[in-house]
Amino acid sequence: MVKPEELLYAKTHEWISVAEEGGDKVATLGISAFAVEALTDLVYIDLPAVGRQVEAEQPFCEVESVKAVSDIYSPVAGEVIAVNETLPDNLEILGEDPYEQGWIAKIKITDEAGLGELLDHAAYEKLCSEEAH
Amino acid sequence: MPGDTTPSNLTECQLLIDPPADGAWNMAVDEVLLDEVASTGQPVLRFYQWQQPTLSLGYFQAIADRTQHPASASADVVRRLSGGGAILHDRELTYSFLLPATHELSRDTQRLYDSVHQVIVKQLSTQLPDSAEWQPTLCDTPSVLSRREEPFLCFQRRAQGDILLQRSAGQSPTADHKIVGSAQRRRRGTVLQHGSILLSRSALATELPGFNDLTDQHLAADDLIRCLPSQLANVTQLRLVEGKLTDALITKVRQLQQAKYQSASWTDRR
Repeated sequence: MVKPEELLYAKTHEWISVAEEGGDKVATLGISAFAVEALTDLVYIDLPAVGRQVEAEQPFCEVESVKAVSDIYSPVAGEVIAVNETLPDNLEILGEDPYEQGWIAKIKITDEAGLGELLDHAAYEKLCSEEAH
Repeated sequence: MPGDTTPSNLTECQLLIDPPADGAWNMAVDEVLLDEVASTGQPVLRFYQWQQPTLSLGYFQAIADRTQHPASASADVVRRLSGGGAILHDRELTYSFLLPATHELSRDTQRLYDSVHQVIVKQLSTQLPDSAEWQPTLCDTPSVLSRREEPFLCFQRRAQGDILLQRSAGQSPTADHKIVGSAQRRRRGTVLQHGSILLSRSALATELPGFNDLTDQHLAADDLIRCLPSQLANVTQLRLVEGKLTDALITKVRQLQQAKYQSASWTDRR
């Protein structure tokens, strides 16, 4: 069971958890509950291709709601090694369980410099609270 | 602006009123402005029109789906940065409103949508007598269709807050026609909202009547350009400053127009 309190967050509202897998550092990425609520009425997600190289703080995925297209950013550089194939046909998962079943992609980290810029849960909650007002 | 009594402590918003241009130029301007607003933090309100009838595809739409609307097959085509359905831009006024992440309305997709549309509804209402058969209103019964079931054309879809001309109560049969639709693109908190105000029916989309067709009015784009900017500035707490694209931005627009919006790799990417 993933606890939001144990994740790290980007100012652009992605969450990330990092784990060792087979000697590599692998980041699992998703978008926060706050982001899902702000996006409203999601209708489409364009997942990145497995194998794609992503750059830190650059968009790697796009979501469409009824009224808006938004970019999703990767806080780290690396290679996409898995994507959550169940999401495109079950976008409600992003709202129901954004931190576990709603994961978007796993990225094998090649440069973890961006990790230092991330917020812990308390700092992220503060950011959301400021943005909500 | 002449006669402007807006408090000077409000954030400045650059007002751009552009001449008609081709679709690739228009979309390139909007994208360059999105990056510019993200960089400067200064909002921009832009009005523009189209040199020739142009079909704009929503960001995720497939070019092959143009076959669903054969009447516009001869029109130029461009792919937008924003989502939603295709729009046949012809006899309309188009606007773009770009807000930085620091503006409170940039954070709330629906509030921004509604705020802009409420201003347009109010302005369109002033053109009509209370007894008019058709009255502008915001859509409150959005479509429940799945993405795959949605019509190809934006103006045949219904989203919360779209502007409809609705036949007044007591008139029959009841009916409505969408006359304003908007869509957003968000980048790191900065938002571009652009939308089309359908003034009159296009010969390439005769199934979509505009405001003038239904109301027997002769509303021109210039009439709206005279009224809407100050009203939009009021509701967003901004102070308008008339401006124009700088030479540096024009160079960026030209590059993006050629490299992206005129390119098949962008237009035909899906």
